[in-house]
Amino acid sequence: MSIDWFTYTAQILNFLILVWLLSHFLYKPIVNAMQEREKQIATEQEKALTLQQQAEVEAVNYRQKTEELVHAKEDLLAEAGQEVQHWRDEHLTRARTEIDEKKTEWYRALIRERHSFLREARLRMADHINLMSRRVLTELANADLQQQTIDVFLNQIGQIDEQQKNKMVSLIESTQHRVLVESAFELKQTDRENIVKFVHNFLGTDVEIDFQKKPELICGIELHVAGYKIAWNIHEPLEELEEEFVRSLNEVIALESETDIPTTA
Amino acid sequence: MNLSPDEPLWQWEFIILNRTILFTWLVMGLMVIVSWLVTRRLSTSTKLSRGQNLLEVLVFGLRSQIREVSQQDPGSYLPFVGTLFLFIAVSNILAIVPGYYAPTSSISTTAALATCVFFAVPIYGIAQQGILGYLKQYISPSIFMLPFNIIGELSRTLALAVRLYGNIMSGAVIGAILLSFVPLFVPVLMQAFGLLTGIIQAYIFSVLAMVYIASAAQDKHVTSEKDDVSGDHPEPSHTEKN
Repeated sequence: MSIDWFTYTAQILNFLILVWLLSHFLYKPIVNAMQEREKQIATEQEKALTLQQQAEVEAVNYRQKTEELVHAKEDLLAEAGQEVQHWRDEHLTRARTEIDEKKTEWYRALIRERHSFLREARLRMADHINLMSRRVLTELANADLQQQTIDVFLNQIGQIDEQQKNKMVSLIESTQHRVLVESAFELKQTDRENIVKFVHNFLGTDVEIDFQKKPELICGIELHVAGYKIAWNIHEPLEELEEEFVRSLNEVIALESETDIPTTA
Repeated sequence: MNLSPDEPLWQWEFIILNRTILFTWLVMGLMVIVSWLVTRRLSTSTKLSRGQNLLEVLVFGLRSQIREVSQQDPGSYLPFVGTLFLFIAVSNILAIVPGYYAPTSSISTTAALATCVFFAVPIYGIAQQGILGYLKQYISPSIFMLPFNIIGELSRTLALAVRLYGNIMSGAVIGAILLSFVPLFVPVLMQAFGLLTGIIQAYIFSVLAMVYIASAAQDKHVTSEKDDVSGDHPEPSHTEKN
């Protein structure tokens, strides 16, 4: 065990050279590479953190927008619902108004039809009554209905009280003794003479009687003296019948439509 | 039986070439070539070659050990202490190769390395705290400690050299002796044991060198920490690094 001083010196130099060589070829490159990698990782981590923060911000924004969209959707739905309700109410009101108008129009048409029907019915009923009366009187009493009508008419004249009679006489004098007799049928000559004779006797004065045919009287006969009238016809019974008929008809219609129908004038 | 690798193989004037120098060059060449081959294509991404991975593990481990021992940034100590460890370790590991003589089994080599440490201590100490600050520690805690400190410096350098030389040389000697009368199997065991010893000695040598250097370079930190404690800064010293 002895130190070889040349080897000792050479080993010192060798070691110092090795320090320099390894520092140049090993430590610096490796440490630099490691530091560069750490820097890159730190940068990437920082980027990742930034991205994560951005993502969180985006997520918050997204949630907010989603909530806003949900609210907007609810508001739109509510608004649409209100508009639909408003549109429905408006159209229902309009439809009701139109229906009411059509209903009123229909009632009016119905009333018109009823009036025309009643008018027609009245005429036909009167005709039927006339025919039936004629047939009954002809077959049962063996008398002519015209004759019976004239008899009843004359009998009605005969039942006029004295006061009315005087008034009538005065009216005849004011019309120069002209009297108008209207009948639904054409009077025979004998009947005319009987009427003239009866009036003469009843009033006690001369009168000149004009006879006119008036089919609207329907089996009736009338005497006109300056606005004064003595009449017999089946017009009144027919009106009573018509009123009864109209009342019955209204009841039937009201039951069918369950609506009050204005009565005819 | 010739146990010293310092016997000259070739000589001209005072210049000699022996196994120590020859195998030192071999170790140096091997280390430099491997380092150059690996570090010429370094990757800074997370994908790296096996060689780079190995060297990074080595360098990272060295830096960690230096930081742990010195409690300082390992940057300035790494080339010296790291080279000490790597040179001694590679020299010792290659001892399993037949015909190879570890340079560390020569007292000349270990003395040279210990001398390098002996001079590195004041160089790092003066660089860290100045020449006066460094010299002041020889008279610390009192001037009467000066001879003991000087003797300590010298003796620890001697201890470094002799410890490494003794361990490695003894391993080689024991191997040679065992080879003479138990030629099979037992020398293999002793060689494996020698590998462990070699690594441990490399670690011990480099750690002790780091401790000596750090003890010379850390006095300033101790002083500054005391100043911080006595001053207006209650916080721990920011110069202390983990």
